[in-house]
Amino acid sequence: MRRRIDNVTQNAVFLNIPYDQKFRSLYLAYIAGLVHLGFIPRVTLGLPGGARRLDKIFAEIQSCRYSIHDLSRVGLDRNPPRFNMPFELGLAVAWEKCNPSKHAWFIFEERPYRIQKSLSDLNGTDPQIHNGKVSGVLKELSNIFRRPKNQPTVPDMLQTYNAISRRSSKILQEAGASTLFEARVFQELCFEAKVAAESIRLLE
Amino acid sequence: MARAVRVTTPIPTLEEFGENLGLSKARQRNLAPIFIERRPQGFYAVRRRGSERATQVFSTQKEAVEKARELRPNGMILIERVRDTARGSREKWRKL
Repeated sequence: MRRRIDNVTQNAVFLNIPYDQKFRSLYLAYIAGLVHLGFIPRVTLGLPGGARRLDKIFAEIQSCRYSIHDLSRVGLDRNPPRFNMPFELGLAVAWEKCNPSKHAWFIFEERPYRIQKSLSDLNGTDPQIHNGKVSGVLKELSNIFRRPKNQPTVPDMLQTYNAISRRSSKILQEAGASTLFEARVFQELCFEAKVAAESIRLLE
Repeated sequence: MARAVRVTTPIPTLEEFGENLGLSKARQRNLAPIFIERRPQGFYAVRRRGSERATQVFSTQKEAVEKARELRPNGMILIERVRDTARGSREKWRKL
């Protein structure tokens, strides 16, 4: 795993999000926002290779300069509750502690102060609160990632979101998939978001 | 106050982005937008992104649009504006 340490992609963002139909619009918002900000989103969908899943996830976190952990749906509405997301956050926190120049992590939450109860070890860390809204995710992404030049506006990012949201059913159909949370669908959503973000610049 | 980072890494091009995602070149070509641009001679050229040569040229914009739709039934088609309007000026693009 150490071979990945020097191989950090500076504009890659590891997205630790729930693969859940109720999270569909926020999933698209993360893709649209990050791509519009000039990043390459990465997820754990379809990780290649035959290595152990945990090793692959950790290698993916190591290869990304940033990671985003959306803990808004770590609740008890599932049976049993899933601990993957806080666990992956723990991996990212440990990785940053050991290599502060190679990684930075951010937490997104739906409601303020809830994380102080659900994950009190992180007291003192302010999560980004998106209120469960697409515009909230876009706004918070643009708050944490600041480009000195060409910082996109939230309405521009919203246009990219609308473009991929409209295209998503066609992408699903072409991929023969039933959910957006599949590797090929994710790749094509990202690419469509990039096409939409670039075209907005041409249309201006 | 939550932390923020200053990002100075260059924004990847569409080609770099597609490659990083692991999308094949053929799939990238299929998903990339098509441009309809007016040539100085008055023809309308249908051109794929990243290609300098036109796929085909037509004498009317309507024919070019039909060809572009045939090539990209569901993809993005961008048309060069040929007149100045309240919504945009020449040398800008509009979405079909």
